[in-house]
Amino acid sequence: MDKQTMVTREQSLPHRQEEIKVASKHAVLGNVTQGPWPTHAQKAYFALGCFWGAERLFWQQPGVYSTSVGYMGGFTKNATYEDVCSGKTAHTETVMVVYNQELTDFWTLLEAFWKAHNPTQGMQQGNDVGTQYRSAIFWTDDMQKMFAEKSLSLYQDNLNKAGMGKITTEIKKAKEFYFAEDAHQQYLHKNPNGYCGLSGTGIDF
Amino acid sequence: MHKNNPHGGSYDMSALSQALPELAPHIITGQKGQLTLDFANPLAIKALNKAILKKDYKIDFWDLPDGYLCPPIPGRVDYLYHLNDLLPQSNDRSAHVLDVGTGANLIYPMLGSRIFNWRFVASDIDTIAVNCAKQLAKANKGLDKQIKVRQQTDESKLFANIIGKDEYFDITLCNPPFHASQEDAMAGTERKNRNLKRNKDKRGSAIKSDNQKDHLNFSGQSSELWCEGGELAFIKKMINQSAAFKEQVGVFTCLVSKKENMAAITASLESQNVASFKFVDMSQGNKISRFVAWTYDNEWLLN
Repeated sequence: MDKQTMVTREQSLPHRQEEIKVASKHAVLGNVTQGPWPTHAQKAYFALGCFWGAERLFWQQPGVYSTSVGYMGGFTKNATYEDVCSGKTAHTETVMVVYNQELTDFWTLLEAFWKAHNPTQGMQQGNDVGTQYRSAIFWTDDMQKMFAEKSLSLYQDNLNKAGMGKITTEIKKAKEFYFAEDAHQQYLHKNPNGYCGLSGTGIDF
Repeated sequence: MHKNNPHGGSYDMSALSQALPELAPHIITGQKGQLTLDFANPLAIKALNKAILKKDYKIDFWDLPDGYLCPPIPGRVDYLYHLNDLLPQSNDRSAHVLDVGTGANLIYPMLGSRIFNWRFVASDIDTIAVNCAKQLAKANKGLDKQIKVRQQTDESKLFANIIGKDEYFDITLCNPPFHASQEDAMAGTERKNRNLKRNKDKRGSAIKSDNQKDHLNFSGQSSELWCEGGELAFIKKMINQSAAFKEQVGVFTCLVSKKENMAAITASLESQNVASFKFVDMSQGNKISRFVAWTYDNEWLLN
């Protein structure tokens, strides 16, 4: 079937019993990957194409405490990378970002998010094609929702001025985050010459 | 109202809803056939604020997370015009102003930088409020250059941790928590809602209840609404702590909502050996409010 069409719940792959286990320490930042989190920590979830490059973008931001890659927004519990690549889970490749609210804020992360990819491409990002590469912001509280929506309309104005298309980024409440396999965590640190398809529009936020 | 406050008349609902279409569904026809709002509906108040900020102050984005205080703009603008009267008119640079306890709404810094081009430092004890305020400044082009938001980490301190070593502020402002306890704050909110229901058309009341059915869930986080000892204890604390910053602040000011606190505030200022002080009355409709201003600078006569 067409990988750019979202599967319905009925069409999606069945759940898996077993959770994927990942290393407890971040390979770059050295902090924990699954909590417990320090005070003033806040979570945000961003999807902007292949999660290898997306995760690196966020671990490089000042004030970010930890990052992990995984799957969100679809149906299949504990999906594997293979499941997601089949296009039959409806998940999108997602980065969980844990940031220290005293050192940075969600707006700063949003700025990095919009500038780093092309949010007008629908069910693909660059050469990576399929629903698993769609752009999304999954918010964890009302404040994130309000600023995410505002940032979208601001960036849309900027894109309009440059004659670019409509933003297709989904802004939704965060659901369960399923960790991707450990080999994908901090992938570009483990594989410095690895693939990174991340490329922005060149339009400033 | 201050003579320069542009919010003296009634709201121009059609112009406001033109500026912000989301206001339109909240507009109702009053008893005299005029266009008005359901002032008891917090969503209507929020939309009204957004519209005023957009139309009159070119603040394109203003919003609040649920449960935070939604301030009425006309009264806030009034305080700022009165503060402007206290500033030396000979200043050739824009005033540097400190807002103690800005809240999530960041309203004074936003309005003050747009109306008078002041530069602000805004503080708060509540982490979520600070976070929201920071992002509101960033989300409005230009404001982030004029407004710095800082987290107060010690709830016993008002100026320490916030005023930097080499910083000078022309004036400080504060809208203090005026209730002595959460119960007191809730009783006040209920009273306000009852009055509002009786008097739906009157304008300018502060709507604090987000959810009319659940008063435990009213707008305004605890640090915005109450503190131990209420308004008086808070202002006395501010007066005490101001002495340590007398070289770094021209004039200190704070709103005083309870008239009966004026005598005790006067006594406190007299024992503090300030150079001069005064109470400034502000009236909005039939609501009288006031603020107190004091200085340690002998050149700066407030009387």
